[in-house]
Amino acid sequence: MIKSRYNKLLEVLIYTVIIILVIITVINLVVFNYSISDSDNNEKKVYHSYKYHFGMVYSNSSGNKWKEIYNAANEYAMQNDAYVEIIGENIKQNYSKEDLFRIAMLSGVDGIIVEGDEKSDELNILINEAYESDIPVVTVMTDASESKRSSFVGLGSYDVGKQLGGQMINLSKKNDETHVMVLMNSTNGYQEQHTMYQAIAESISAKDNILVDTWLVSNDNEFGVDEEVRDIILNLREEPDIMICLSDNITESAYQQVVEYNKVSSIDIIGLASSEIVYDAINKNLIDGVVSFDKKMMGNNIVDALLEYKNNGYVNEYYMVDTNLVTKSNVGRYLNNEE
Amino acid sequence: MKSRRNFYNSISFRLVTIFTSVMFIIMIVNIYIYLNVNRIVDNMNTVYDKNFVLNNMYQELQQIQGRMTEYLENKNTDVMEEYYKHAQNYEQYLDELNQETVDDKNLLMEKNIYNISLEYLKVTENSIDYKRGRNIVKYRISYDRTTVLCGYLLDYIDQLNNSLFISSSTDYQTLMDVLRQTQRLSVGLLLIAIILTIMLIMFATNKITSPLKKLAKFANEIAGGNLDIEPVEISTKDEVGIVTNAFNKMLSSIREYIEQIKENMERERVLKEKELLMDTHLKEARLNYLRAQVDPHFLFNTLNAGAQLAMMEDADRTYNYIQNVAQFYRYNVRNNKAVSLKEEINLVDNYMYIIGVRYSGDIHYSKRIEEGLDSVTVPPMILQPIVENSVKHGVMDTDWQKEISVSVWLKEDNVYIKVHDNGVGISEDVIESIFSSESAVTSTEEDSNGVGLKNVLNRLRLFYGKDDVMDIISEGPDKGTDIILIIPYDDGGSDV
Repeated sequence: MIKSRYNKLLEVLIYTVIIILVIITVINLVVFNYSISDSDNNEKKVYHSYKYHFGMVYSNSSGNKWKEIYNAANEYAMQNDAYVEIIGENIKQNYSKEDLFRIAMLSGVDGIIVEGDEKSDELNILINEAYESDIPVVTVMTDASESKRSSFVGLGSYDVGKQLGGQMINLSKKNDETHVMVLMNSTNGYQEQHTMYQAIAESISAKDNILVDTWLVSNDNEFGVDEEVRDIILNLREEPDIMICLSDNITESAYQQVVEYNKVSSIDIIGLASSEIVYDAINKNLIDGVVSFDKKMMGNNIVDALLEYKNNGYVNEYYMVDTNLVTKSNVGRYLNNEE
Repeated sequence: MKSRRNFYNSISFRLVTIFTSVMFIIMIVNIYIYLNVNRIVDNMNTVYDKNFVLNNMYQELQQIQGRMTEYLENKNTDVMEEYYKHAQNYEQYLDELNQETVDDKNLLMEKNIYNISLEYLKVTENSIDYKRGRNIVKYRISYDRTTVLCGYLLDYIDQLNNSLFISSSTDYQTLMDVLRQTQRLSVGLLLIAIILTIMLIMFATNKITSPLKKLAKFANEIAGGNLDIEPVEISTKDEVGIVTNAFNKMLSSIREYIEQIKENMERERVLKEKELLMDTHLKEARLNYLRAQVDPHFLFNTLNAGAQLAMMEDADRTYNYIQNVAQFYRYNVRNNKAVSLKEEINLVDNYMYIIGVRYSGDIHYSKRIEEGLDSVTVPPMILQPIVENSVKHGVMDTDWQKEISVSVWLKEDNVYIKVHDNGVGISEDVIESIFSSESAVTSTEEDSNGVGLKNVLNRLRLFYGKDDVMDIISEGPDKGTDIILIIPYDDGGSDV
């Protein structure tokens, strides 16, 4: 009796172990199979192909902003059967904008998005060459109005200037003299910045106590800009009360120098920017306001312009992107959901 | 059909099935792993394929540019041939590049390289053509352009190569991980298969040996003399089941055989006992008979001498009387185991003559014997004691005409011998006591005058081996008695 119960128990045990082992084996095989197919997927990734290949060309100095514009543009492009590539993105060689434009043309792209440059005749010629080769070119942020570019997508510079001017008046001293320094890039986007400056100047025409000076930042690279801004802060005979920066790289640089040389309380900064660092600084009252633009709208406009040209052969010459004044009062919206 | 079923139930089939299944499982697992390892190794081999192509392209591009420059410098046709050779090689590599717009940066770079390369090859071709056509201005412009394009291409190829190398290394690492995992899995699966095999063997062995052990235990019990065990339970239909079945049959045969032997011994014992009892009764009958006689031979001789004397004196009746008495006693001295019915009746005749003389012919004696029944064999001394009984206890004390008759007839293979008297009859109690199982030996004392009815009854029963040998009919006091012996008819042929 005991023996037979022992046999029964042994039988049940054996069956249990066998079932467990079989389950372990099956699980192992499933996991193994999964990792095998995973490695296969690594090998044979499935790619989506697109009808149009657009190349984006900009100078290295305008880094982050362009990256964000690119992301917005590419996201929108992919929804419309097109793909945007940053030309020369991974190439170590530091090619000029013109070289990159040339490479884009040689690469057989269907359209080129380029940061225009009124001063560059070479770029104008290349844009014209592209036009001749039936490659539409859209200039972004800064125009190349002399060329045969198909469309320009940018900010309404006058409006931006008005917004900055308004903020400047808000910051200015009521009775005492306020010294304002407007910092502009001499190398790129001069035309747009000049329009902005004019709008600023117009907005203070009735204010006698606001003195506006301009400073052309001639350096293009990051360290050069820092150096020039430091000179303004430290070496000018009269320290400005308000610094108006008409490009994002100058805005960021001015903010860093003001903090570094402990001038936060004496110098107010307003400018043109839309980066996280700047929004954070506004939130901490280190920057007093910036005009930012809707990058998503810009990306969409760029792609729309190119697609419209590809599909219809013509396109609007200008696409204006909305701008907003970001101050301490509304910065929370931008911090949470950076546009 | 049955043999096929037997085959499926057999141990060998089960063992073969188990081991085949285990081997099959191991084989399947190994094949599966082997195929996957092959796949991984194949994948690993192709991981750096693109890098190989790009390296070659890089070198070919340098060669093309170098050979073209060389040709432009010295217009050597050998160099031009080499240029074409490299250009051809380069074109072949180009075919391996992606040409579509896809959402992968490396593949887009391939597309760009492809397009720039086409332009580059066209421009180099143009340069050579211009050189041939001695168009110095144009070939210089073309040459400058090739230099720029070659620079772009070398940069692009270099960058793509690096980029691919990084992702390939990641892929390679992934594949290496998978390969390592495969190794672990293989070892694991083999271990599992081994454990499974051991389990299956344990299971199968247990299945096979446990009934064998049970069988051995039962066999030992039987060897120890215990035959009263339940048949071994047959749980399997394999060879062990067959052996168990045979064992059970053997056990039952042994039991039957032993039972038969016991029965035979019992029968033999009964027979022996019967024979001994017969002898005892016969001896008892003789003893009882002789008890009354002293030296019968002397008596015979004396009676013979008397008979001679009576004959000489012409006393015929005396002579007959003495002669009958002498015959009567002589019969009893004989030592036969069986006699004929005729001899028995003769003895009765002698007895009745003696009685007739003794009681002055008071008893009327008659006999009626069916023809042919004289020779029926019967045990000795069965009729005379009955007749003597009828005389002594039946008719002796009656005051009417005393009658005794003997009749013999055949009915349905039985010989009926009836001794009838018209005496006082026998009471039911006495009849019952005669037929009761009380030993004849003990009852002999009651029959002080000779061999009793009970003795006759017992001997007849022993002799014929059946109970139904005698019937006593008495219808009441003074209504007489019929004593009927029923013996099987054997026509005197059997020599009992």
